[in-house]
Amino acid sequence: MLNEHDRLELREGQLRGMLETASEGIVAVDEAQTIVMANRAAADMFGRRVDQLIGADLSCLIPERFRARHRIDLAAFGDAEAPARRMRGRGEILGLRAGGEEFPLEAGISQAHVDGKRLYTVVLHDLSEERRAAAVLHHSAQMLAATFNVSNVGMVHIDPSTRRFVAVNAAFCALTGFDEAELLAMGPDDLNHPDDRLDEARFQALLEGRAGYRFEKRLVRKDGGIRHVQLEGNVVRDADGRVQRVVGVLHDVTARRAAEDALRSRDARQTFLVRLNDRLRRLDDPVAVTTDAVCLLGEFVGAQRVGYAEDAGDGVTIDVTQSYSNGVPDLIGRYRNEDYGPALLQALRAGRTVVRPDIAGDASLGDAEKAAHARLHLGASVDVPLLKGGRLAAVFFVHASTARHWSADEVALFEEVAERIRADIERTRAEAALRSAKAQLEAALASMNDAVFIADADGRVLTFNDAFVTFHRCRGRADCPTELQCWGEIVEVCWPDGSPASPEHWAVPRALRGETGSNVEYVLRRRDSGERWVGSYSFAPIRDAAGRIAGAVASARDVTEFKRMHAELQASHAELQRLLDAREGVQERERLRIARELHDDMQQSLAAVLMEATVVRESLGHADPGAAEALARIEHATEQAIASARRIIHDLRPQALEEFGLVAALENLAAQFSQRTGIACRVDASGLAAADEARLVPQGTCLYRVAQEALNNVAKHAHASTVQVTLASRAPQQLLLSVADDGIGIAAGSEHRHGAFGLIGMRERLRAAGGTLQVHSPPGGGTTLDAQVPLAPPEHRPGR
Amino acid sequence: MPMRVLLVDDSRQVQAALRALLSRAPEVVVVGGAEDCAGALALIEDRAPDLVVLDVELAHGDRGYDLLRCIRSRHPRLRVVVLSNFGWEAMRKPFIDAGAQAYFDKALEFRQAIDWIRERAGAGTGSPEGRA
Repeated sequence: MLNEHDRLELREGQLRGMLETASEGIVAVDEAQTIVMANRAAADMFGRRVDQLIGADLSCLIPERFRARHRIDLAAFGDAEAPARRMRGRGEILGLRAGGEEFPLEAGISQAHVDGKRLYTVVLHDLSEERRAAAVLHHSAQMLAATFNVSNVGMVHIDPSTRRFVAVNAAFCALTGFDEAELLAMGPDDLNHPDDRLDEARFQALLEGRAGYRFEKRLVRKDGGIRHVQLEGNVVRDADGRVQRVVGVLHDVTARRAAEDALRSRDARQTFLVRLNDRLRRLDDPVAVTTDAVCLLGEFVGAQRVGYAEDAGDGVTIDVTQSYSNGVPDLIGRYRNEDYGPALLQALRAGRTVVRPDIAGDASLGDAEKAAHARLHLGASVDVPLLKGGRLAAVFFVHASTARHWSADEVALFEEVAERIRADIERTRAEAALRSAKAQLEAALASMNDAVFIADADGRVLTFNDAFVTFHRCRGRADCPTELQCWGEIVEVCWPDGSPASPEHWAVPRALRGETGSNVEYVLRRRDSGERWVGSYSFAPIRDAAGRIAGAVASARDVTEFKRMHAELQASHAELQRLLDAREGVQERERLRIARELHDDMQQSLAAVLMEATVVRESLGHADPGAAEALARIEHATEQAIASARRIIHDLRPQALEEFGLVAALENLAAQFSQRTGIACRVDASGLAAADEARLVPQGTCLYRVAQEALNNVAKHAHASTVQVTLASRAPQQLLLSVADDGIGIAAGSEHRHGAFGLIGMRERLRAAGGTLQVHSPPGGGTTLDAQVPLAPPEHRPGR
Repeated sequence: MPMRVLLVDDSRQVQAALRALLSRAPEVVVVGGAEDCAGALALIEDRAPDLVVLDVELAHGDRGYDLLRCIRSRHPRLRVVVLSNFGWEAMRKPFIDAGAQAYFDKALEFRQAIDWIRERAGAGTGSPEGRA
């Protein structure tokens, strides 16, 4: 049996054990609020040891600012003699840990009187963990709600048993186009694309936690549109591990998919175009260009037929020379524009690409057309027109044997390929034309005897013909350097006077400076052999379309031989001239001699005869009429002989010229001419400078003879009524004799008919005197001969 | 006193024929004949003629025109009548300008020349006027 003490002992032990194991903190204080007892939980709560608490003031467990208030409250509680109450009414107060940390706590207080003293017992419950958990929970809920409603991620909750949506967020509504109410009556398969149904096995695996659930699938929107989504499924289990919800998170990846597709397609297209470019660039034949391009494209896009139809040039006929075909007949051959059909042709002529995805189902086509298309195995097509100068020049076509959707990218690719083919065909044709032109140029150059060379803007001789090699006395083309300055080491170039011509004065540099030259002579000398020759150069700059000098072309001819011959010819001509002059002189002297003899002997004798006859007549008187008559006949015959002699003398030698000068001689000539022909002839020497008249002696005979011949021509051919002979001074140091008649003129080209020899003779005569002859015969009639001679006689002319 | 006439002509035949013609006139006396300038000038000094009948072309290349100018400067009172085979007017002017009293065509106008001389001889010698 336990005694009272033992019971008390036991009770205390039990109480102590309870206190020590209690999760609540328990603190007892006396009226002075000194802690008399504290358990471990209380000590732990306040971060102290039990022994530190015993004897301490309760206020050390209360934040400073509440201490006074607390003391009052406790005293009030004691005075009220209330058995127990929760502290601070609201049940929650703040404690102060040893480290200064405040924490929420719940406290209950009770009082008892022990040994006449008031004793308070406080039960404390630390609320900080609960508060923290509540805060975390609240935060999580907030986060969850916020996450759920994130605008761009669709989220759904699915009831795993009914497979129905039980919650959807706004983003999911936006994604599907349905509103929340509609969606809550639906399940995943109401939205999934028919090809992307819910995978039951995977879903089951998800529910069982065996596998994750992550797919990319297509949703069909309310409006029928397709959305690509990245779907991730997760399960929410209850405490027992039962699946309560399946949470689906859906990212809309449609734009990304489209971008990726576009990128893939663009990459492929780019790769294809690069490949096409590489292939076409190496080709130099338009047919090969077409063939390669259509085959490459046909394989690339998986079309059944690809071709290039080109207008034959008449706007009516089209030629398909090459086409790619795969499992369908090709279309190589000649067609007519109208074979396109009116609608297609009209669109193509307007420059529009025509895309026909489904020809068999095309309501705009008639049965006959459809049948024709079917015969060609033509189910779908794209026709790209290529216009040139506003006219349909070619059509690039891509055919599929069955209906086919052509994407915008594909059409763009076809258009680009068509453009490339056209460009490359034009390039190859231009290159062919260029090659042909170059070949022609080279053939032309090769056939030329002149050295021809073409230099670029830097003066490098890039093109030259074989004659160029020969001209420079080189052994072969390899001996001809490109650089201009190298030529200076091969040949020395001089001006015709022998002074050296520096390279900047050579033909090519001159041409590059914009100069054009013709028959410019240089003397060249080989530095190795010393051979000299004369080159006659012609050169000109080559200008580009903008007018800039892009090069120079020059030609050179070896004129050494020509010059030698020319010099010989000139020498021989001079010799001939001397002979002619000499002959002229001899002739003139002979004429003079004959004239003198006629004059001195015959005329004098005849005059004497007449005089003597007069003496006889006067002596005879009237004695013998018969003798007088005979005498008269003698006198008459003698007078006629004198007249003849005088004419002959005059023709042979203009005595008046010698006696009194050219003007007087011309006047005499004119008088005789008028007398003989009845044509009025006047001489006008008013334009003759007095000083010139005195210097006329050397040219006098020449001009006098010209006048004489001119008047003879007038008398014979002109049918003129008047003739004007003009003698005038002409600057500088020239004398002009002009004989103008008012006759019928000399018809053009008929110089050889009328007075041809006369004119030739006059020309020769004048040329010998260093003069010229011009004949004017205007259509209105009349002829003017202008003979012009220098006053100073030519050097080679022998003096008289 | 008859007029003293000197004949200057490179042709002896002409001199003889003229002499025959002039000697038929009593008022004229032919005092000599020369065929060139030197001979003519010597006879002018020697015979002092009143009148010279002058040809245009003389012997040895001499020119009647030169002789005329010489006579005009040395013997201004001596008359000169030109008897020329150059029967044209253009020739007449220079001789008249150079001081010849008359100019006649030798073959066709010699009768007028004789008449002209006889006229002057009849009117007296030394008279300077003549047919211009």
